[in-house]
Amino acid sequence: MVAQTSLVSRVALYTLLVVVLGVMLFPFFELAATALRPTADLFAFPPPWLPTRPRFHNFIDVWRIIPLRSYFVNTVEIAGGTMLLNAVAAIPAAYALARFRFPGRQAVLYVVIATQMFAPVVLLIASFRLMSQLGLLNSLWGLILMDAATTVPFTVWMLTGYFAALPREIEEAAILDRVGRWRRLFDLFIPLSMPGIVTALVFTFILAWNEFLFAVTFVTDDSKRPLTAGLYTFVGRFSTQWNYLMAGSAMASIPVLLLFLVIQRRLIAGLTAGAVK
Amino acid sequence: MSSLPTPTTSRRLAELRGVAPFLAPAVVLVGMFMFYPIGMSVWMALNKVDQFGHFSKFVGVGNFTSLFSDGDFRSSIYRTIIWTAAVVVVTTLISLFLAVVLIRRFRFRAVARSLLLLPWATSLVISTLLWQWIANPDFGALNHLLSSIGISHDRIDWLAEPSHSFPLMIGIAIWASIPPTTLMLVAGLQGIDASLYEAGALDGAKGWHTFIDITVPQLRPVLAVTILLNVIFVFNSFPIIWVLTQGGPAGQTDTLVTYLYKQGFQLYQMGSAAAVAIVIFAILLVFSIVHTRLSWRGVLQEKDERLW
Amino acid sequence: MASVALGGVSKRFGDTVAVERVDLEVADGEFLVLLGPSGCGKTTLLRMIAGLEVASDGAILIGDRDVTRVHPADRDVAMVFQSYALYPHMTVHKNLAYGLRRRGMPKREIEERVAETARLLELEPLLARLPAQLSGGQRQRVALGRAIVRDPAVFLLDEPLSNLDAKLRVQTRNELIRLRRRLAVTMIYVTHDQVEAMTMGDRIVVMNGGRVQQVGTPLELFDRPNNRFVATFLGTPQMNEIEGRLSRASRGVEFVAEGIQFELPISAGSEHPRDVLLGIRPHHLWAAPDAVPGRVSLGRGIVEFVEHLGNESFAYLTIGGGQTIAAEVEAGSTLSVGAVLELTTVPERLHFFDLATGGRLDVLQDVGSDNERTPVGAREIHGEGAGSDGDDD
Repeated sequence: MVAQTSLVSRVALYTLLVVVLGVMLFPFFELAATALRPTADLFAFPPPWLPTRPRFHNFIDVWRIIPLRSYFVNTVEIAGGTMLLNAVAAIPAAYALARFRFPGRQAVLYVVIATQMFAPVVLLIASFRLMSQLGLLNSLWGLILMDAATTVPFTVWMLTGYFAALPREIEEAAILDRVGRWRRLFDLFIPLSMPGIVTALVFTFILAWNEFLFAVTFVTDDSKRPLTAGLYTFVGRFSTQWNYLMAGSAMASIPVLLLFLVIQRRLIAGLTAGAVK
Repeated sequence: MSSLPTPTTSRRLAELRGVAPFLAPAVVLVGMFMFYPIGMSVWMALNKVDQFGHFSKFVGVGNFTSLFSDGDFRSSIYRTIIWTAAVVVVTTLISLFLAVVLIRRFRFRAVARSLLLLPWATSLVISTLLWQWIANPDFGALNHLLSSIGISHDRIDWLAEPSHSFPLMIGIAIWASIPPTTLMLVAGLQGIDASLYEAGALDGAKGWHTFIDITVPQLRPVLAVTILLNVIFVFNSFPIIWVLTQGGPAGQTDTLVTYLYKQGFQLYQMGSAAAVAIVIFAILLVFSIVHTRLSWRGVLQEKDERLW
Repeated sequence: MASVALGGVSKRFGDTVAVERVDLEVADGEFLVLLGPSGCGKTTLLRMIAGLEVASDGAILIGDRDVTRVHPADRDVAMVFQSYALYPHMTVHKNLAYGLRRRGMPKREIEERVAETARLLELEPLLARLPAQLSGGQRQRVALGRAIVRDPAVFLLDEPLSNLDAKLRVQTRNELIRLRRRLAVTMIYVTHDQVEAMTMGDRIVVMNGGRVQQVGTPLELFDRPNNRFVATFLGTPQMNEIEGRLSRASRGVEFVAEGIQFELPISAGSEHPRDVLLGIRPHHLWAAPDAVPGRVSLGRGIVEFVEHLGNESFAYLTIGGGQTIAAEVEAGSTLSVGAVLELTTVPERLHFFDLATGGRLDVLQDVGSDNERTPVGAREIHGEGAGSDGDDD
């Protein structure tokens, strides 16, 4: 913005910004402070703002108190599986939609956009029945399949945009070089769209990592729980040891935060695609 | 000169056979785990179905009529609308403010933007657990904070009373929706041609007028997308309410989503739960048509035919 | 090497017709240029020959083979794209080798061919680089190399020089001419640049609105344009056009326009009087203080401004009817605005077009068939003009 603003209004503006950001970030201060509290501090009144004696050992003890290891392994498997399934399903589909002309293409694109709006909750009841018939309740596969199916439309949509943006002449040069469709996908489109593919797939990884609804519904066996459902059940089970819960939550969030930092710029572009030039 | 045949059925079939392998994995996955469940939901909604998925009786629209005669269901529809509207409106206003500030150049701008990622990246379950702890009446930071600033020294039991817990939920949902909304709006603001502002400045537009006359109209498409995504996201949000109150006490903080969940997995009325799903689906369908209208421009038009 | 023949080739995109019933024969080893303004269908035509676009109608033959329905890779053609379309993630070497590898050529032969092509185009020091690390001219050579390495029967080039700066364009143009002599291959070259067309093409196909306007050697097109479009499209400054009327006169035919009147010493055809458009290239219209004896006078004009192009100068003058026309003046002459000059030309350099259809009227053809009265001087001027035309632009 080129508009000049007076000092007063600028001070007011930044003060407001600091206040809003403060409210936005306060819970994370509380997360860190609680995670470092010794258990004795938890139920002190009034609660201290900072831990009297920061106890970093909480981050080690929590692995004993909560079955974090199993939750982590399950979560990585679910998120990784969802990402791979997304890659297998979405990349070829997006390529076909971006680059081929075939009867029904418009209809398929329409469906792709529309299904992005189908919230998982709509599927919950019937898919629970389906999973129980397939014997996939209490199975990581059940979660992978549902997470993948619900994220594929977005991945297809985002990648279709990326693939469509590739210069047509490069593909035509390859056609003249006798490069078939699959080969063009693997030799040209995938390497040249790597940033977009990584963004879309990492996003599905994050969505699956954070997924809760299916996880809490389909899995009752604690050894199969991912982090979200696991941490949630920890609350009800004991008179909650919030310091450990927060330590576990912090560790569960860090991988996702790092991934988010990597993909955020392209992800936002993908989310607003069509609305931003 | 021989003239070529116009696209025939056999040629179209050949084209379809060509793309089929590319589309097959996605079609199978989405078909089996999205479309089949939706279709099955419709059928379940017309039947009495037990928790094991056994159909015991065809009841037609019976599930729907009993739903709509249930006061709790009607009030959860009402509550869902309040919930969605409040969250989306407030989120949009705050985000707009943040976005306008965050595209100015100032020190720590990059830091401020990155910090905003924190609430977005964190799983809603974890965020809500965190808020649950903050809202703890005795040992939570919220009451402590309120009394430190001198706003209220009462022991507020945030989660016991719907009059407290529902606004708290709305607050949490706003808190969680602001980051993605702000960052998308920032992207939208950056996409506005700087020369428009220069032209506006030459035409004498200042401060507020620049914002109303140039920024808002140019930002309209992005605003539309963010509002729509938020509506859908908030409408369907499960973790915040479920983690905080499970819709309680006595269903007084239920939205359609938690109502559905209870019908299905606490009362084991799978048919009735499926009927709720259909109601949600119907509402969402309207949104998705709007969304499609907004985002399919320029993408769906046919280009030339291609044989190879 | 192979000849190319098009018969009744059309291309429709929905309701719009991009190319309409084009018939064309390209001889084996010929350099044919498709010339026209943007949107005239020239690129679409080239792409149909390549097979990247499917003809809606008609047939395409390469050699003796009907390739209308043949996959592009099986047509034995190579194409150089306007944007070069190099594979951005492959080195120059890989860019050259990729097509051969996909065709299943033995590794040793690929290496030989790539080396040979790199030598020919002086790409050897660049083989390990990525396209992003090359200059525009170097990229252009790689694009050319990718076509050459394939050793195709027909070379298709789509505005290959348009992304280069002016100096590089001239240089590359000359290189292409040299290369073409060396490879002795059939080339079809699309451009909107008439200088490229005139200097490179054995023959030029001028297209407009999806139709072929005229096919001929550069000089044929320049000297005997088929219609108004070809006449005004070729040559800079653009040909002057004056609306008027041709009718029978005492010593031949008379041309009358607002403020202009002259007679041509030729026998009148049968269709006079008729409304025509007189075309005169500025190069063939001289403006000087005094009339030159033996030339046809178009009357006087008032100098509006003078354009100095270095080795030649043109004046823009207002003539009787208020119209502005361009005429050549003595190079570097210091004319002042408002000066009144005499405009003269020779009959051989006049073009007449039917006002309604824009088609060429062979008024001057009559000169040949009825040549007793043709002034000898005019013939000589014709000869001179033809010799220098090629360098005019």
